[in-house]
Amino acid sequence: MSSIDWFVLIATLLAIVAYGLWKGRRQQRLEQYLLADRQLRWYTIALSVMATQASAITFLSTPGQAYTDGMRFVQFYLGLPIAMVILSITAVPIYHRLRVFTAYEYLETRFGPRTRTLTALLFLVQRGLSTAITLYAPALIVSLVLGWNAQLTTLVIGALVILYTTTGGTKAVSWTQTHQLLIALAGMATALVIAIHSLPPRVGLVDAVRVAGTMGRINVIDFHFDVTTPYNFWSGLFGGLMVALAYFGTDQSQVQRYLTGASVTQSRLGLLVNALVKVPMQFFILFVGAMVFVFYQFVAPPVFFNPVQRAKVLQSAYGVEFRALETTHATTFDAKRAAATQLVDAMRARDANAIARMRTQLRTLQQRDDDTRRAAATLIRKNDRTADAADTDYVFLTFIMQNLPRGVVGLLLAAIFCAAMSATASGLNSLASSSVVDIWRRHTAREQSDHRCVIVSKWMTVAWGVFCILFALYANQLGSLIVAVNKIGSYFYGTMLAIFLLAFYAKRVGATAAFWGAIFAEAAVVLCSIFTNMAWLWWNVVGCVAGIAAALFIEMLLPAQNPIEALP
Amino acid sequence: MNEEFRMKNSESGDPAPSEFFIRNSSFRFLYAGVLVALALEVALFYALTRALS
Repeated sequence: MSSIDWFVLIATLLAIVAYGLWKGRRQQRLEQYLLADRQLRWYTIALSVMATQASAITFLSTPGQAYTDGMRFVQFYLGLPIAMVILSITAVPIYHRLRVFTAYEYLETRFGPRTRTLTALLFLVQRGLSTAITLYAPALIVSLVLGWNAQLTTLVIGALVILYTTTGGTKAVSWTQTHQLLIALAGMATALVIAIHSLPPRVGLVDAVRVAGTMGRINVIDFHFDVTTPYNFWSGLFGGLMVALAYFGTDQSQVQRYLTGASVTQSRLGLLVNALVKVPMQFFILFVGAMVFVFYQFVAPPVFFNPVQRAKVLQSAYGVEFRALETTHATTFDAKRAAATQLVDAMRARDANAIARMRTQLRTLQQRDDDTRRAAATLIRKNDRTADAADTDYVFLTFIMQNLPRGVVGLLLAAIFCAAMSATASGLNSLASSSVVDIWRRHTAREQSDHRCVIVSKWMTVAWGVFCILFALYANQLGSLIVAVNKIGSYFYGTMLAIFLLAFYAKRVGATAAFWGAIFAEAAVVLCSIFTNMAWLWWNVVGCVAGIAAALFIEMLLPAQNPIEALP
Repeated sequence: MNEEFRMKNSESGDPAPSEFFIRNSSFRFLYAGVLVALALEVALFYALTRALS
């Protein structure tokens, strides 16, 4: 990496940290520290909500998903706009009226302290693990491409996030997130422009899109219903709706973003802007990946994008076999490049026969190349049983480091680190909030002064930061990062959503039925994940439906009582 | 039950969602706009998929 890249990277990160420290100075009261005094406007909320969801994993892994699997991943987000509308109508005004600090605080008004504690603990487990993975992503970058010590990088990035999150609380987190997201998107836009400009002179944007479509990378919508495939229209609409309802309505890392709104209107507007922008934003990030795929039809890609694993296997007993696969890959690439060039020429000449012929040839060659890549992954796995056989997370990084000009590499790395820091910061901020408000203050220290609560919140932020750093050091066995994050969430989101839907809509259901319904739902999700091959997006639907059904059934068996009065 | 919450609850009334349903007509347009935008996106994406596959 050149000195100008270092300068851009370090200057950007230090500027963000300094800005966070300055914005978050003088935090005295708990409402100030945890909710930015409920004074934020819709644009800050919208950017903060989007930045919380768009971690470094989004910017690293999503283009790789498009490279290996096409753009169908965008369907995962189709339920999100509907969820934003539902939450704007229901949850936002309720949370605002009750002036709660956390989503789980509301649950106590309906189901008592036991259910509040259960949901807060479920949140702490899943958000703690997810935040740790979020922190791990930039460490992956540097260990891969720069040869840095991944553990040291995790420590440095973690320490920077802990510094401004602990000092400035939610205000610092929300304001830095707005800048971090804009930097990240600017980086992606730059990468897209360079990818398109780096194509051969005769290949324009439209040609590139056509080539990507021919090779199955513009497979955005699939209406075929299949519960075993993770990304189709139906799983995205229903599973994605459940995930989004649970994530934005019950996950404190998101709820805390819109609880900072100056009014119900400001919070609603923040969520609705997210509803309008999120799907196009994900489409854009996936499109960058599709264009990187087209770029690699004209510039030779490695057979396996993880250089560390490639080096390992080459030095092993499988080295000769791997080299043979690399030769096959190179031969296939030459044939693919020739076919892609001829396809572009045929499309320009509007020669229907040649287009059909080249398309068939390109697809056959791509199939052969996919088989070669699979064989390479198998060898890598044989050589090292702990190795990740997927190289999705390494595709975009490899493209950045090998093909972008000096200065832009620094900008892209800064963009990825910014995204990692923003998502980690809101994670730590929400973990500290729930730990203090739902657990510590609720169960042990109800009469503590506001100032003491702020101090404990700061120490809790540090403690969660340390936990995430430690866990991040062991996160490299979890496969594709973006899938790992969403999978962890899907173990818990259905249950959480069931409890909140019961609280909002089923006024007859009391604390006991809700609590045991939640336990039943969690058991159902775990059993589904172990004993069926159901795609993980559907676990959210199972958890939600099982939780609601079980609670309603248990309530029918219980003697009639007023649920509010029956609370302990 | 936590008194603080009882108080909040009684001050704010029943937190049933029906009480808070859409009253502001400008928000109705926004909600409809979001859903229409989603439908248009799906239609556009499907057209792209069909045209380019």
